[in-house]
Amino acid sequence: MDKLGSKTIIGAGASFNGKIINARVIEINGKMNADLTADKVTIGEVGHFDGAIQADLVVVSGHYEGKMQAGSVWATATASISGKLHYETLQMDRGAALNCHVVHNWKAKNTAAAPSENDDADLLMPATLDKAKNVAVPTSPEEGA
Amino acid sequence: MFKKNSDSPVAPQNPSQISEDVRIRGTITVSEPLVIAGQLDGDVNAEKLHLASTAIITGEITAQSLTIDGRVLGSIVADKVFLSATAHFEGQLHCQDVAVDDGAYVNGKFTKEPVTNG
Repeated sequence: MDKLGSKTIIGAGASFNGKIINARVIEINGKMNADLTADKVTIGEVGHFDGAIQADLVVVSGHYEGKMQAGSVWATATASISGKLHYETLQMDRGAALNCHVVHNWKAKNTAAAPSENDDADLLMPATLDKAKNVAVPTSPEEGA
Repeated sequence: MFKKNSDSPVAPQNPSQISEDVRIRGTITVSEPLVIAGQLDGDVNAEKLHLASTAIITGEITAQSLTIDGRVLGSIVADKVFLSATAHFEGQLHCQDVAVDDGAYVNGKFTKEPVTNG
């Protein structure tokens, strides 16, 4: 019983409020209002997540609202996502509801163009973005979240 | 008309757990069993709580039944508490029923009082 493996589960009868870091694999079926850093995040069908997520892989089947930065995002048929979504690869099943600002390739941009995390930069077209890159804006704080 | 309530017996296949390497700051409220093996800075409210030997909790714990194998710094309000041989507890303990295993580190104030909360 002592060894749980590396999986963290917020069950359907649980609610959490706060900040979680270093969770490797986390499954959320309850209510979360959090700031989460993990490798893999699963928001189950009955899960509600409100807050920021930073992860390699996020599978959403429930409700998500907030700012997500993920390598891969999979929105299943029951997903509903609102807020802001930064991703490298995105998969969306028929029926998934995305109601958010979607930005591709945040990671590559962040490493190339220095951490400019402001909203305006996100809206720039690739050409102007390149220009902006050359101007070399002095480093702004790494993390907006 | 009775509406089927989804928060009746919650799916037992997925009880809540916080794994070992996780670090948390915040509040957890669980109406089902919870196992914590990670580090938590904040308050826990659970029905049946097990703190594994790797758990480090700083904050206030409220539970009906509580088993401690790890470290707790703070206050506990519970019906039933078991401190195992690997437990390390510093703080205030309010409970009805407490058992301390040989080898447990305990430093604090114990109060026996009836607890009537969930």
